[in-house]
Amino acid sequence: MYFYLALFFSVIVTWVPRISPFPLAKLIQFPAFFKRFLNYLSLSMMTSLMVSELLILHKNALPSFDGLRCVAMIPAMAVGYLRKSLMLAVVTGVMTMALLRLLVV
Amino acid sequence: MSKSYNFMDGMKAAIPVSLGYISIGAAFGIVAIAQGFSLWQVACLSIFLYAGSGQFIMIAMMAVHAPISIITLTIFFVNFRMFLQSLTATQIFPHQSLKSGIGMGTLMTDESFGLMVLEHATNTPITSFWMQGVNVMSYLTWILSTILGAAVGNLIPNPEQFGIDYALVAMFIGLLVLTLDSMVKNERLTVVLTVLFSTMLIYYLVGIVTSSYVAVLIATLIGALIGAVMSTPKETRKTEVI
Repeated sequence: MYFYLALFFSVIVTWVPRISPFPLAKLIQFPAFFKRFLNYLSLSMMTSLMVSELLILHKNALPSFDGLRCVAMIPAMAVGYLRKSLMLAVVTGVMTMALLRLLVV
Repeated sequence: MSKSYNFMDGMKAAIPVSLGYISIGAAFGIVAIAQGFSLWQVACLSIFLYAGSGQFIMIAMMAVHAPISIITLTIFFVNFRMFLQSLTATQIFPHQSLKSGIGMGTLMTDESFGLMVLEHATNTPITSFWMQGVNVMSYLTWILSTILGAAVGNLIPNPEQFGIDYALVAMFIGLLVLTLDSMVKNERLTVVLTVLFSTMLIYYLVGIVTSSYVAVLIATLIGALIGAVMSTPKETRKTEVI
């Protein structure tokens, strides 16, 4: 019972924010400033999501860098940019990481 | 050779996303079983909650029998960025029906959101069918890989050795690089770079006192706000912002 109740409430608080913008957008016109905010949202969201994967957070101390992950970032970034391909960025990142673990550990 | 954007094209575009989901989904299945959850419960979480980090947090909290109110509040906060993602989708697809919108919002993830904004920045207009294809492909991959991880995960001795756990990180790296590449073509370079570095700095500083998902939310909001303020045309700035 505990599991299903926790699941039920979590699904509600996840799903309602997920879908509510769609009926909302039918009812109101968003101001120009808000549209500019949304324009930069994907950049800031992708930036913070990526940084969150590279940093290790500590309670009440400066975050530290995950060394291997940061090193593997460089070829993934270079290939992704040069070939303009998400797929190649992912494959390069995974192969680099496998290689690094083979060499370092 | 113009690119088309039907449902099948969307499913194909989601292949890199799926690669990331296979590894992280399998990891979720393995962790959940190790914490004492059943295969059925893993499937329920993936099918109904469908939120990567949210699912990891839920099993961690339920394993220690945290109060349901605390779990609910945490999940609300962790997943609130999806509200902003769906808001963006309403602007990209202003003419889609409510039914289609609700379907799109239900299955939208960080990764499919990234793909959507990226493709939207190219010149050909993307369709809602394409986006549904991306979402459905990602959703099915996630469900299957979490269940597979829960069922046979223990048979693979050391999956990290193959670097698969890095797929999702590499995806965010790729999404960020491609987003940057398309933004510098359409927006002012100073604004793009300011948003990039201030978001990093804010995450770094906020991360001292909060958990990573709170830091992601705060850095995302302030970063986008900085971009919005900086890109406001000068003559309207005073009247509009305040």
